[in-house]
Amino acid sequence: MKRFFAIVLCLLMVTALFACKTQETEQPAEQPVEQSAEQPAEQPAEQPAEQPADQPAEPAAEGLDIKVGFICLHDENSTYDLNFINAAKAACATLGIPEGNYIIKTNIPEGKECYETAADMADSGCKIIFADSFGHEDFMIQAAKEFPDVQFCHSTGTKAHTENLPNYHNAFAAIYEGRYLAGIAAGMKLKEMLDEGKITEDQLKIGYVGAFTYAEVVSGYTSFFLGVKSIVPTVTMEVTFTGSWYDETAEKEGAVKLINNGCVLISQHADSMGAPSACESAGVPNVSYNGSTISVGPNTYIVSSRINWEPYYEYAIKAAAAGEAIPADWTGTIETGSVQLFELNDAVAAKDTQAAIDAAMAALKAGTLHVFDTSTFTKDGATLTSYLADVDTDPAFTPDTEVISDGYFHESEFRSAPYFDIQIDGITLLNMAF
Amino acid sequence: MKSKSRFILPFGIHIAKRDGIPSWKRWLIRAAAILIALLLCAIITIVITKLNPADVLKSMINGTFGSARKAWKTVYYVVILLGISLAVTPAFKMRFWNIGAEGQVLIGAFAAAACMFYAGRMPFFNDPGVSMQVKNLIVIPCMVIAAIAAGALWGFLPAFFKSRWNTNETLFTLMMNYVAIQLVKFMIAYREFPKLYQWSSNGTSVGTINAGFQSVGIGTFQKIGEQSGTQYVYPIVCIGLLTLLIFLYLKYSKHGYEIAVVGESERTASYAGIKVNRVIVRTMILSGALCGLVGFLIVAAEGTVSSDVVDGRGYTAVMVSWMSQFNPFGMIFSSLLLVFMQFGAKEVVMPDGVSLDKNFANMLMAIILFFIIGCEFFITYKLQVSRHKKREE
Repeated sequence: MKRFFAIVLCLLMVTALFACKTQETEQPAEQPVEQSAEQPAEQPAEQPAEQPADQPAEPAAEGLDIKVGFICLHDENSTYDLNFINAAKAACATLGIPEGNYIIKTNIPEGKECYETAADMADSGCKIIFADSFGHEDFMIQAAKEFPDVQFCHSTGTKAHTENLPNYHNAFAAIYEGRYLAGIAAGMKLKEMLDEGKITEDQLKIGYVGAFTYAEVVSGYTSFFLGVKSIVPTVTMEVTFTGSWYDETAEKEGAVKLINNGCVLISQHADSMGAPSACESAGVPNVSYNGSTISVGPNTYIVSSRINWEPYYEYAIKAAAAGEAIPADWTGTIETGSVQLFELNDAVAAKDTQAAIDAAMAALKAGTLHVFDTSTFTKDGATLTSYLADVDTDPAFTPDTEVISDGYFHESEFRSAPYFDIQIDGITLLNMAF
Repeated sequence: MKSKSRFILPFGIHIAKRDGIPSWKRWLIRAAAILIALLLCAIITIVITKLNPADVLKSMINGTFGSARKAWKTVYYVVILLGISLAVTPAFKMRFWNIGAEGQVLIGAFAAAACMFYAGRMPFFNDPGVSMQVKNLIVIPCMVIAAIAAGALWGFLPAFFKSRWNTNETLFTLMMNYVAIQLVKFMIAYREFPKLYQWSSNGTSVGTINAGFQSVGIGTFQKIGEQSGTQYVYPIVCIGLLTLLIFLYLKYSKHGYEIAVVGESERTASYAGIKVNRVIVRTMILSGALCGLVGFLIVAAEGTVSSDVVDGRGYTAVMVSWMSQFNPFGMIFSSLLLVFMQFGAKEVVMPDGVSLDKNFANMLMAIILFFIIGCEFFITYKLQVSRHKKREE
């Protein structure tokens, strides 16, 4: 037995030695490869001029001398978080913030861990901290109260304008404008299908797969619908909800259900590839969100709208570095580059789609066109002249602010997050469970 | 005779039960296990992040003790894990498989939070003329009592059913966890923002309860001066005392002795005149009550409750208790090691700016637990190379 014990101990030592050795040999072998292969390939591409000037002289004027933290709900596997992570990296690269001066923390749940992560970041010297998920808000506010010298920026939140904290800010984008433009692309496609005789006038019905019945989604599908309607006025829409931001099966099933109901075009507001892939296998055109889904739908994908967070990140980081105030609510627009419509798939989209989008975009920019123009839609058969929206968050969801004036619904003006939650005529909700 | 108990593996290796093992050897095996586990953790971390080991260690230390606030927080997390481990120890020493600490802590936390929540709605507590100290003097004892009672109830039920109808305590305590989690989820959804609850992806959290009261709120531990993290001093002192008390209770009290005897053999205990069922119920009430107390400490320190406030520590604590051989002082070290790995790993930033996350920290923790629990096998059994086989060759 003693002998055996000795053998075991010897084995342990040998494995330990081995482990140390491989570790040592691995280190030098791998690091240069890493450095030579990745570093030059990546960095010059992103910050060509800054890098050489920045590295020798440390406090150079080019790179911003500020530490930044980013808090994400999930990791790169979620298209939603990936959109934020890419924007964070791009913003830091553009501003010349060196590696090690920005931290991205992923998989931070919407609980006290969010506060602790934010507080840890503040302790590590971060001067501005971003969080990406709605449920992070209360915990960001808690951290903001504790660290008055640090700026806390929360995307998609609703409370900054009522909290009155000088260092706590919300941000969103006027994505309804992007949806409207995407709707125009969809309308052009429908018109083409009509003209080619593929569908008849009474088949003009489209489908939409939504996540929840909240203002963000309602605002999204309504603006999309109005965009379609601006091209084909007799269109109707059916909406189904999945009750989750990411549920591939439910989104796929939702799309299939809509297609079986006779919808001839599908769009969605949920984060998986479920709806686009259902459309591809049924051969039904699809308008996407958050990013291009052309990889799963080369024959059906038309266009995608998304929020680009990079302009906000750059703006807020610059402001924090300069000690300038950041507004409580920041709404990105087409102008700031925050609302993007990209990768129009010419193989599927109708002719002249780009021209129609450009015209509408110019009108939106000029302020001559409003997405929620009250003359373009009705509720219960009547045109709206007044509407109280729930802009200031409270547990009872009390409507508090008049948002219709000058003939249109003022979305994302009283706060950055959407609050359009009117069920307009022409849209049928198949389920309201969520 | 002996060959019967042997289990034969390939290469002529046999597994045989040890007759007994000197304690120095036992500790040597455990030390070796921890060493190998740490080494494996280091290798995995370095291979994945491609960072230099010294930097990784530096980040880990910075993540745990990098600032006064972080150090307070680390110690706080250590004592909470330690507290739950202490709470489950009497039951496990009795060989009562109580894996319900998760639910017992949560229900205690929930009861404490409910006191806090309702106090915040009473006019008396909203009266600015009454000082915060007086308010807390009323609310905090209520929270303690409610939490202990709730935890004790959660511990009592499975023990009662076990002693009466000999139900399976493992399944029963496990089920009680789910009851507690769902109950808390439901109450949060019901009381707070029913609509927002669904919007948030996991739907388990509420904002800080009574956050409007002065800096933190009634029922929560206050910071000492301005230093952030000092509110954790109360749980730290509390669990420190508890460690000592549990040590004395298990080692020197009559109850402690009875627990040990029941744990060794229920039959021996009943022949010796110990009322086994009574010991089981009594010990489980104690276990549950202590879990409830820890739940109170969590809520009072953090000012909020959510269904994942215990965050799996009810299960980790079982491991901590086992790997420390039910020694309360050993648990201090085990808890520290686990919390250090957990917090430290999250501070390691990879070259692209993304830091390692909770999943990675859990992986490291799993490696350590696997080795430490696994090494108990080598303490109970030994491997032998067959001589017959050798001769044949």
